[in-house]
Amino acid sequence: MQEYFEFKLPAKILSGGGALEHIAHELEGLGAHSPMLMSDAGLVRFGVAGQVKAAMEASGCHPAAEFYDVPADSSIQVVNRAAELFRCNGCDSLVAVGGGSVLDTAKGVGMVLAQGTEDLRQNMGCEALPRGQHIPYVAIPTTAGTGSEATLVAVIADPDRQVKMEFISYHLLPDVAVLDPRMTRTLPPRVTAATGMDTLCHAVEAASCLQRNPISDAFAEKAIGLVMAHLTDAVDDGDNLAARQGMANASLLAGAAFSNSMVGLVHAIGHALGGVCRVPHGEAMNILLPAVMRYNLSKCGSRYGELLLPLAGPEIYAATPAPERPMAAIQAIEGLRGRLAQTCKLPARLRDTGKVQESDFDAVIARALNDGAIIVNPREAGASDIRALLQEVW
Amino acid sequence: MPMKKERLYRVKLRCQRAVCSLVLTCLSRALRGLERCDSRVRGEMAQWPEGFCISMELPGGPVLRLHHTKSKGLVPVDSSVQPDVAIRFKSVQDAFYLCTGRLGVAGAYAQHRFVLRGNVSSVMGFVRCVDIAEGYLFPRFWARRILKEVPAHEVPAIRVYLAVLLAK
Ligand SMILES: [Fe+2]
Repeated sequence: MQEYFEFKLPAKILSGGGALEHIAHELEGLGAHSPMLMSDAGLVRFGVAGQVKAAMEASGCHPAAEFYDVPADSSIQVVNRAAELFRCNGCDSLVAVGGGSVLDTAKGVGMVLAQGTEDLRQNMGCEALPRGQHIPYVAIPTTAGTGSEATLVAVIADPDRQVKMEFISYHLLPDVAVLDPRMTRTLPPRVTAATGMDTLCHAVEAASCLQRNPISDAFAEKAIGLVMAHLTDAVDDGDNLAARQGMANASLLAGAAFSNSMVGLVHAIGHALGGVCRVPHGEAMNILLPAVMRYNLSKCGSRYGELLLPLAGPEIYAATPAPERPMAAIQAIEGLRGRLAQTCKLPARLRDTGKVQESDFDAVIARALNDGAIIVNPREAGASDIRALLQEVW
Repeated sequence: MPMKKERLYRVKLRCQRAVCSLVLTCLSRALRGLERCDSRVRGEMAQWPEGFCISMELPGGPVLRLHHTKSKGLVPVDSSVQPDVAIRFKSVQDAFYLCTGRLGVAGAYAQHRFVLRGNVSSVMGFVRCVDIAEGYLFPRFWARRILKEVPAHEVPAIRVYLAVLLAK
């Protein structure tokens, strides 16, 4: 644990049935009357974006513009187009409905508008962004995974310069996070499972990496307990609204935890696998988490031992002798992973994703070594260590 | 703050600034020396784009700005060269913690001791170089406290000390 820490979670959280109907009231409280609604084409097709719009209109708030053109890999061009639409229609706030890509794009739009510039390069970095003009932002996640509704990170690609611009700033945090179980109901089992494992990974890494602090620990531990209680139910029966709500809460808690204590080696390698081989983020997390925990065992074994309590419950925790708890914690995660492999074929090995060749390892390693997440991992990881990990999960 | 306390505080700050200035100069010389004699540092720097410039700054100075080219290697430059990435300490004391080995770079990052301007991934190689330099410059028992893993010495530490003392 560090001797000095900082923590910020400014978002008001609306969680539970009927949350969507309260968005209009929240916007009014923020002094906003002409929101721009953002989402992606898939969510429009499934009627999810329409549900939000209807709920807002029922409470007397009509979006002044709608932008449904966010691709899976968003870019600065998309951000600038959305910002242009915002300006042309005299909007004053953002309401974004979607997964990580839509929520990050909305953060980007807020940034462009707040800074009054289309060139965000000079604002890249960590805590380097000035506040600028405040654009109220309501985030409505449609996956229980990324936690983007509670994080200070936005990654926006600049295809012309071939860089992924990373922004880490407290000014990117949404003002309101809306967790309504109707939003994740249509999520297919495999995506539910993968995004749920991403949440678990956020919580485990936030709770064990160098930047952990007492407040992020509390958030992370609760998130782990919720994932263990609800993930398999949400996968087995998508209409189980209690399980959906439990996972939405878990995702926000884990997001808030890692927004304030960062993630480590699982994410560094996971980002690289996503960038080089297009392995879906949640699947990479599912594959890597136990192996990286074993790798980190020598540095934070006792912390993993403590996590056995939320991972397995008080009976198993109490019945397990202290020295055996770290391994039991890893086994609890492997147990969950085994169940998910059975119910929805979530791959537990890299080769089963069908996206990675062993010849890609060099590029993956090079990228993982330069990923910012590696800095807070409790154990140093060099090229040979990452190669051994990739081979272990191959 | 009573007058005397305030004066003492200002003197302390001046001293901390002077120590940081000295340590940053030593670090710059150590990194230049290591580029010649340590394969890991050479390997990291070889991956930097031509003309890569990195800066470490305290509020109100001093500033260490390093510029890397294939022909000249790593050289300190003045503030007329625009840095690609800048590590800006939030206070003099934050820089003092890092410069006196109370914190490593990872620890300082985890404690929000500095702001980073620029591409986060382009600074990771520099962080590894600083870790290696600290592994040479600090005694082993000390390095163990601030580094996740003390890097092995490829050459005797005396060579790095000589590079620092002789500025070669
Ligand atoms: Fe993640």
